[in-house]
Amino acid sequence: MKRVVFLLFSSLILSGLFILPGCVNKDFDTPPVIIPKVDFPSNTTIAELKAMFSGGLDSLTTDIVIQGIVVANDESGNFYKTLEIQDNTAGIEVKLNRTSLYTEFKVGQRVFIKCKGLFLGQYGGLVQLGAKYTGAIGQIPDIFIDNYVFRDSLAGTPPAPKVINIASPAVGDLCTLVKLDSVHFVEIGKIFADPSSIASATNRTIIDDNGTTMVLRTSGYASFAGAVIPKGKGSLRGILSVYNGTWQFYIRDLNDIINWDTASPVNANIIEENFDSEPTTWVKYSIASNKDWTWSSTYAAETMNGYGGDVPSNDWYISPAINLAGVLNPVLSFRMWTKYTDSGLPLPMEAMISTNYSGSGDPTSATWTALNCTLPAANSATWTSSGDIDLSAYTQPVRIGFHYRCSGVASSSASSWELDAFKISGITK
Amino acid sequence: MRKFTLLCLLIISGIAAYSQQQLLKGSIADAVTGKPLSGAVIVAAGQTAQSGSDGNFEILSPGQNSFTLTVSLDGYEVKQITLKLPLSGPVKIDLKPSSGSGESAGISDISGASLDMETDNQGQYISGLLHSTSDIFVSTAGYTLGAAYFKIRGYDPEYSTVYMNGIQVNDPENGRPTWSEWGGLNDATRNKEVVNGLAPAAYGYGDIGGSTNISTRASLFGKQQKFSYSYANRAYNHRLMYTASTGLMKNNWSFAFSVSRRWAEEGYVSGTFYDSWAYFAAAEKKINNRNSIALTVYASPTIRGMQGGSTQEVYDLTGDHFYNPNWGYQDGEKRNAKVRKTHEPMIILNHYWKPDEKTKVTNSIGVSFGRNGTTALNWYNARDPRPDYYRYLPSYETDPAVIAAMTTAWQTDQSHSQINWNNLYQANYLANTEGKQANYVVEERRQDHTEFNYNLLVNREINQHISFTGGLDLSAYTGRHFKVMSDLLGGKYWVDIDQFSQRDFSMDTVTLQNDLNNPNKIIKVGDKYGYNYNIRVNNGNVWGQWEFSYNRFDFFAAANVSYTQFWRDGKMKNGRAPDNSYGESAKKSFINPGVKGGFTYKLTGHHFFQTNAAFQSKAPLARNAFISPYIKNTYAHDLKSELNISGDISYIYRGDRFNARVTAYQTIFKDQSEIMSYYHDDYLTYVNMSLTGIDKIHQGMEVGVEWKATTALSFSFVAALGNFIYTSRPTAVISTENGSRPDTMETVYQKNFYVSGTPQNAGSIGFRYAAPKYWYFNGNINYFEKMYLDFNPQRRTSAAITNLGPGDPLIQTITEQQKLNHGFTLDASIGKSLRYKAYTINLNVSVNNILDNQDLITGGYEQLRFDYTGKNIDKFPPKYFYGYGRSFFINLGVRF
Repeated sequence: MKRVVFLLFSSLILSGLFILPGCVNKDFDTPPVIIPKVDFPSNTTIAELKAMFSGGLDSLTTDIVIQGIVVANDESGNFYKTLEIQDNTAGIEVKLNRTSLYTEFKVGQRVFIKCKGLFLGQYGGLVQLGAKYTGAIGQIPDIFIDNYVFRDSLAGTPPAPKVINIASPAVGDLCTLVKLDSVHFVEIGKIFADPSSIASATNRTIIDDNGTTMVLRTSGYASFAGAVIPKGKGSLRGILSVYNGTWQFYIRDLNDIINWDTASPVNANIIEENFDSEPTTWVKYSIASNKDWTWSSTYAAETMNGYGGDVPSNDWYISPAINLAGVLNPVLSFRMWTKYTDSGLPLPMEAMISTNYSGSGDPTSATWTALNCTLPAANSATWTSSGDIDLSAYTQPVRIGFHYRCSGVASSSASSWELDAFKISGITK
Repeated sequence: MRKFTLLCLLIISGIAAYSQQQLLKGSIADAVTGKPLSGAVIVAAGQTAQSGSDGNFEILSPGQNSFTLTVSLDGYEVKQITLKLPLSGPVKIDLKPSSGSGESAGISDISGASLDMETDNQGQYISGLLHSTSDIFVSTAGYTLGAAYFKIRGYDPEYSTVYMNGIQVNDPENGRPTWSEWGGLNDATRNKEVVNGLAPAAYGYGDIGGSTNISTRASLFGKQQKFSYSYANRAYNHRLMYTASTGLMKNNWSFAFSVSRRWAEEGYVSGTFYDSWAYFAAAEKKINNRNSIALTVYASPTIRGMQGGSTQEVYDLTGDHFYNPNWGYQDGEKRNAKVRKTHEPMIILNHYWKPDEKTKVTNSIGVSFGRNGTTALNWYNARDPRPDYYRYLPSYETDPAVIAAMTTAWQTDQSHSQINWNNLYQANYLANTEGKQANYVVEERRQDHTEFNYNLLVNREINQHISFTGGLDLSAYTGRHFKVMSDLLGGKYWVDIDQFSQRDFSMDTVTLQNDLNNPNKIIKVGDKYGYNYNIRVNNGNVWGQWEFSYNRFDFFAAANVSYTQFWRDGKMKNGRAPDNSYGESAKKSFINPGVKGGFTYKLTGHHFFQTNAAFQSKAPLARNAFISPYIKNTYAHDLKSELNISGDISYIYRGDRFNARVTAYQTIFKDQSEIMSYYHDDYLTYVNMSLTGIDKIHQGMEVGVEWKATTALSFSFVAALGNFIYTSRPTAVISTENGSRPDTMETVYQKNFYVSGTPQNAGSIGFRYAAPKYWYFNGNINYFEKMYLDFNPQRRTSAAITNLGPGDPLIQTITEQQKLNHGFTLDASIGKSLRYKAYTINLNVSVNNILDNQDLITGGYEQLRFDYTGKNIDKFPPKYFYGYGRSFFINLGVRF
């Protein structure tokens, strides 16, 4: 009997221990790679679709099917809930309420979109395909995306970017992959975009050797937002966009900065002072009066007014030394503003240049040459640009001085001045 | 005086003068039938004996003036009685056939310990009160009420100490007993001594929540074999167990072995598979009458799929209070993303020595080591793969058409309502085509450990009235915390960086590194990454206890001093703390004294009055000591020892048919600390919140009444009334893991909030009918109330209600604590024993929650995310866990 019981239970145990385990420890087969296949044709080109747009918000009620290749997605974060797709006629921006679209919609992915039930609208002049949201164009809700947007096969090679001229972008190239050749950046050394906590996006400037510019717009959420804008010159690849009549260029990531020669000389700002805060490197020197040059947080400018001083003013405001050695075609510009008329003095303000001012002490002990520039007319109260002042005669360190005087301390014998947007640009390596 | 719970069983017999050393004679019988029972194992102070076929036994009394007899026999409840010398005659001991719950899977299975909450700190831990005590309150609270997470006196598990053959097995890092390490070894660990509350124990100083010593000496097992098979619909479906023991053989060796397997393809909750083995071996050699050596080895290697809590919206959408977000279909099978895999063997060597008849010295060494890991999904620059992420729920949307479509998808499409593994693979396959890293992976978060223990225990009878117990515990612990890549889900590799830092510190190549010694490390399956650090804890404790026993009163006094030292040893140089993460942190040391004492007044043989008090200081737990342990070595602000002051007063009645106990208690906890980590919705990154200065008071009443109406029918009534509240305003230090913000300090306004995690009031009425011919039937109706949701301290800070004017109703909405619904459950069990020749066959069926009440929330927590901007508490609603509906446990056992 013992033996029978033992055998009975031994067999139970054995079955439990060795046969049944397969039920519990699952070995999962890895799913096969799914190659999506679209079994319906497209019947409308993107250009034809965009041509249907009335300019407001259009409900698409017919069986329109477009196809295109994804040329930009949200991988870097510079685009958000957005795909840019193009066929060989045009490109269009598709708005989708889904994040990390790039995990499905790689650049080069062919997609078909059944447009019936969707809407065409515009934002800042850019035509978008999406859904209606509070009376305007919005994103296709996540739960419905798979009813409208279909992937076809795996991502292939994306179309080659079309080279466009920075001076003459065309509406037909919007939302397509384009390329600007032989351009460089103006804001060298700054980062592409301020962090998202400060601004959702930041504009920088692309410029060519002719000085023609285009806005480079970068999201604060882009993974490369904190990258430093490089010096040098080369090509930029990206998506052409527009906002309220201003052309905008979006790179998808830093790999869109191509054939970049950081040694190539480009036109750049050697100094730029916008007086957003008081510069510490400029020199103030008061020859007379208790009224001095002061920085105004209200106007974000450097200001001077001799009215109400103890004696008539004679005050200098002088830039730090700016080395023009090796700079081709240096150009100085600034803007000034003035109010009230000093009837006792025809030239209350003079803009001068010096090559031998030491940086401290009385400026009159140095040699100063008046600059050939435009200053605002007396009591004009209008910001007036100096115009481009050619400094190509100088190949050494220079300083720019602003010399203010007044004939008295009462009204009609003292004027008020403000200085802003001071910069010297030139071609450097 | 001995343990207070055991006083319940005190047999006061006529006292006659006998010499102290004597052969103690007695007999064991079935409490219902009165028939003698053979094969019962009787243990008294290290001596063992077995009852013969006539139920009689003889054992040498240990020569102490009072000592405990523990009697165990399969199919019966373990009985402990305290005997006081001299005895008037043979001792008669009745054993009650064990109820269904007693022979069942144990609380660790019933209470669904597989619950896994968002953060480990929030985890529900099993009460672990596997009390084989005869105190009706304690046994009902442990078995019956424990299923609803009732905790005796509201104490967290770290306030109870568990010993295995004298070696303390509380985890040094989190203080909690490691019950799961011997799961499935029910037969092998059935010899337990349990001490409730502040009463003194003969094996250790214990803690304010009492203590348990599990004894696995091979000589304690009689000579027998036992097979059992159980079928249940709880955490597992099947259990097979085989236990064999030799008893003390002629060559003075004893051996005991046990092996078991518990498994389920799918437990009560969907997607929770269970596969647990257990093995146990014990050997003991009686060298001579004064020396024995014993060796024990055991472990419970387990793999199981975990349950996750979800929000009420999801439970309503799916119509299932046991919805589990952790699984999804892959290859036609349910794959669980959170799989716990543990194997933590323990080896214990004991030397039992009796230098003289009045002294026992036990030396023990223990080694435990092993792996403990839980897998989880991780993802890089991709959508959250968890199906119940708040943005995937209809409540996140406003457009009625979208809400309707999402609701339909939730209700009808399991590729939507569960993890869509296929989508994760496809995303990785596409990443492969571009040579990029996997978007989705499964990682395993490991908490491996190695621990060495030494324990010295001395029991000495000083004279007829005074006995001394004392000892020394030493332990050295290393907890190894790291992540391992478990499955790349079809992807090619992973890069070891922190994506939150990558986003907040664009183009910064240092901050985002998890290990600056291996920057941008390419991670393949099996590689460690993310974090890797050891927590080292050294512990020493010396204690002494004097027990005094006289005719009308007993009292005891005990004191201990412990030394705790811990530190962090970083194995990675983290980019968020390059100077403060690699290598060893400063070492923190704490010296903590404690004293306790108790007094029992015996008015008559039936009426007892008892009072106990304890004062102790406790070192902070290593797991709460570091602000950001994954990252750096920095200690929590103002880390200090906590104080516990506890006292109770009881009236105990012991009669022939009627037993009762009424106790009032109060315990003060002062200066507790806690660490929690979560995703901060305003900072958009993971943060750690360190709370210090948490004070609580636990006060209440316990009532336990047992009435034997006839020899076959008995009734019980148990009630616990508690009031567990916070009494301070702790300080919270919030520290972002990516270092994007300086640490901020907040006051948490939680004074007079209720302590969560247990019903504060609970009661049970039971009956038990033990019919002739070894039938029994019993039932309980249980009631739970005053349960509170675990609250998010952040919502009780002034930061949470900034910009709200005084009297704004939103302030109350944000700060109020949620009370959970009260509830009833009904349990019953039925059983029968058969004897055929040498075979005893037991069949038990127990059914819990017969009325299938699936609406009883047993736990939950407010999400630690809070919508600071919108102040909408429903944006991240609380997560709940529901108690199981009707569940059964059928057990068939044969022993011979």
